[in-house]
Amino acid sequence: MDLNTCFGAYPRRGADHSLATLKRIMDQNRVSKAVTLSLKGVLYDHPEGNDETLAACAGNERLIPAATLDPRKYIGDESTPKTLERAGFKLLRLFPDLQGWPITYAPVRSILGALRETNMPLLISAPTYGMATEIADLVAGWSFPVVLSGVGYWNMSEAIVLMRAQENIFVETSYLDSPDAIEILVREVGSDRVLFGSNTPVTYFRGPYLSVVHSTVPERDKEAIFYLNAQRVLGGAI
Amino acid sequence: MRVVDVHAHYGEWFFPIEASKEEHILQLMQRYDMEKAVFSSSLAIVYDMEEGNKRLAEFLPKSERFYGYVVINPNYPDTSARQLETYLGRTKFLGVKIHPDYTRRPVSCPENIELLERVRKQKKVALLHTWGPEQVEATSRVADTFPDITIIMGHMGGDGIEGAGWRSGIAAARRRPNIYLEVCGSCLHRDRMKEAVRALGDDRVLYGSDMTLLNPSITIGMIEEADISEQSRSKILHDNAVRILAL
Repeated sequence: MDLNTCFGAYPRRGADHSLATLKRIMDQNRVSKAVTLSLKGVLYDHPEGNDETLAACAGNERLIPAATLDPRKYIGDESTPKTLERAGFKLLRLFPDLQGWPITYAPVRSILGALRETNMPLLISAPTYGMATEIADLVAGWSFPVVLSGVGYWNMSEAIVLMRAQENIFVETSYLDSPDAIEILVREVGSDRVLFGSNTPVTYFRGPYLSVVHSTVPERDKEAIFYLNAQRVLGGAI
Repeated sequence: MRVVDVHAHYGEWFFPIEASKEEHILQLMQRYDMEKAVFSSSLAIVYDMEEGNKRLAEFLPKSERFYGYVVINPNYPDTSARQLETYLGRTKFLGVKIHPDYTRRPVSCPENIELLERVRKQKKVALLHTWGPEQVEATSRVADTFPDITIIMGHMGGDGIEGAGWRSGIAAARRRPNIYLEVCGSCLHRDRMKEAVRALGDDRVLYGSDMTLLNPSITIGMIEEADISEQSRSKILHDNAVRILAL
């Protein structure tokens, strides 16, 4: 299961990010399920994007809808974590890197506070030094799973220290680019804290995929990373 | 598919990476079917040029599959010249590596140009770290200054998910037949291989991994998945490097 996919348009890049391309990549690589969302909700308007996500996932049991909220627009009106969960979303995604807002930002606190009232986990980008630390501080003492995206060689020590301290912090694989990242994470925090995500079709699927496949961790750990952990974090809802 | 890696590193990193020793490198090469790899010293790039180049020179004879680049630093032009004198004539050293981020000087600065004259005379290649449009311009100036040096543009201009460096790199290489694009990086744009091959053909694109900083899986996966022909894949992964480096 791929926890980190998307579809739609991406004018800042200009590549093909269509739903058809996502489905083709899933078929070519035998991905059974993908958690996905429309980029319209990230780059333009979260209510319209969330509607588009639900429409794309309707009737397709391989696509699991992720909602997003843009803190620059969020005032807690119709689109709240609770209403999104009722609408059928299984996970909330936030994009501080693509939308340019800081983690220490009042609307983010409001969103995360409201997320506590749901059973949805959070997937959030944290690709620069200190972002993951700020996120972990915000959710300290809370129980919902927080999956960090954007963890690579440069901020992996930050992620490991946080994951040791807080059991609800997880990491997703799309940026894990150092040669033994999977082995070190499994040794330091356990395979149950690592979830497979590719960030396709924004980036190539097969890099993160081969990183897990060719890692030297036991097969049962790979199985956890590829599927079982996501199933558990999503609350068995898929 | 056989692989030659033109962008590898030997040494430690200031990140949690343990796969930096000879046995780890050989395991990675085995895993990804790498016949040969060309290394530069991370120690020489980030801290101690002389000690780093020395350690690399001691490492290279450990396998017939290992080759190297001498690292030079324009902030130490005299020492760099001595490094070239010491190592560049050795068969295991195929060229130089220059990293402008760690020297805070453009690859086209006067000191580098003077040092590269020695590279030209000895008919060796230059791997130039190139990340972003500004560094693409500097690498292009070097290529214009030395049309008879094979310039390997590291990261094909780079720039991550939203940046324009790699597209600038392709445009620069189109105008300069001595620029070869080396493909490694993180979070790679899904069109970069297709656009490079469409613009340049498949003879001037080279496989590099950036191991042991990066996992070769990232770039092997990219080339496996890229919308290019099997022949192009073979050339990029192997044949082009064998040809230009005379391996």
